[in-house]
Amino acid sequence: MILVGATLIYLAIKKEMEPALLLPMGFGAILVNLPFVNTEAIETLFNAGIANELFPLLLFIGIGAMIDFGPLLSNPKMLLFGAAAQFGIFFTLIMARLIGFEINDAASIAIIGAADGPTSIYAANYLKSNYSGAIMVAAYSYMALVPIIQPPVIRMLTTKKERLIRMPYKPSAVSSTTRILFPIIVTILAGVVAPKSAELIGFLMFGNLIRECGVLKSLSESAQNQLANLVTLMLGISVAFKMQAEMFVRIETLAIIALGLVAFVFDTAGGVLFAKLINIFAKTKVNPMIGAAGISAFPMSSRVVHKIGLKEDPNNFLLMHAAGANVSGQIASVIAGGLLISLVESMIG
Amino acid sequence: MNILDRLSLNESEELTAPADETSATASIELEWKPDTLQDSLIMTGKGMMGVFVVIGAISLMIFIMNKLFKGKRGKA
Repeated sequence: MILVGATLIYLAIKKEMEPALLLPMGFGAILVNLPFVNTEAIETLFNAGIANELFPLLLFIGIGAMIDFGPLLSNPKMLLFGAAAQFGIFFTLIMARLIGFEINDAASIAIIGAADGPTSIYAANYLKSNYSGAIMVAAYSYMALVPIIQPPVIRMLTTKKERLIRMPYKPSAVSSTTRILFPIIVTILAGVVAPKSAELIGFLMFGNLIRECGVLKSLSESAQNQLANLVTLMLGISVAFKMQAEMFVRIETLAIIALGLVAFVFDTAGGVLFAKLINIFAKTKVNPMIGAAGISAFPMSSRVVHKIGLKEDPNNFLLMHAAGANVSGQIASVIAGGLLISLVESMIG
Repeated sequence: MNILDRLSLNESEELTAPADETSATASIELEWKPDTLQDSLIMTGKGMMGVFVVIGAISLMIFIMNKLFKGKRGKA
């Protein structure tokens, strides 16, 4: 496990893979696996912020304050791609259950496909998964690997002609009233339809409301910077409590890492194939690569799609469309997580 | 009753050890369980439909708000 911790630190520093999380997790993994070490402080942090799902919620305030929903509000059709790109979550659920994981563990593993660290941590703890440590490592590692995972899947599922489809960006104007009402109404809607997602969505939208209201500039800046950084620091090192050798070094960890990859691949596939389905009926064609940006790994996924688009055609600027799909994935992933938790509870209950 | 209690009481599934944060014993044997497919497919159908329903409602809400509250040209 010390080697695992060192590997995470290497990936964080040398390869710059999600360093904000992988470095504290790696260092924490080394710390908790040293012989005769008292892990009380890390356990206290874990109980204070992860076991009660507090840290992910606080982090979501910061994330919400960072997100500009403008591209989505000016083109709400992009929301559908965010929804489609959650397919990987449910496909992974099927696979995890087929290979023998219990329903709560299978659902927690499946939510790696939400491509969203706080949602994965929240769900794994809420569902009392036995594999929280492996799930968190997989979630954050794969988020950093999006630029490697997505392009081959996109190329496999699209033709050159499809990748060359141009999408001129003509945003409709978005009023400040819309920007202010959006987080409030989304919270109410999500809370009514998927109550288990209300906390996550609520904190995300609260952060966004602080940003958009226009009268809380310093709070917004604090949320985006100090709050997000502090919570990230605490989260990273306290997650390591679940990385003690006896909890982490099992055959199931390998299965979880494999299933995490499956989740991301099928998220990408779900988004791309949905876009191709839309093109069968739509008069104005959509570049199917936009569907891949519906994964919640913001902003990496939108940059990946934009880069592939530019490579195929240097005059095809897909970034704003991809950004719209990408931020919608943030919302859709939280809703999917909440719904999955509800479905698991109703199945067991 | 929380989810752990329900898991412990579920007689049709193999009991797992309570998920104690310090437990080193909770482990399962990975084996092929095709009988889970039907339930999982139903959950998938409900889950994806639920996501699309909520997202559809949000899209509709944004569309209505954009119609009601016209923004300044060029401000997206």
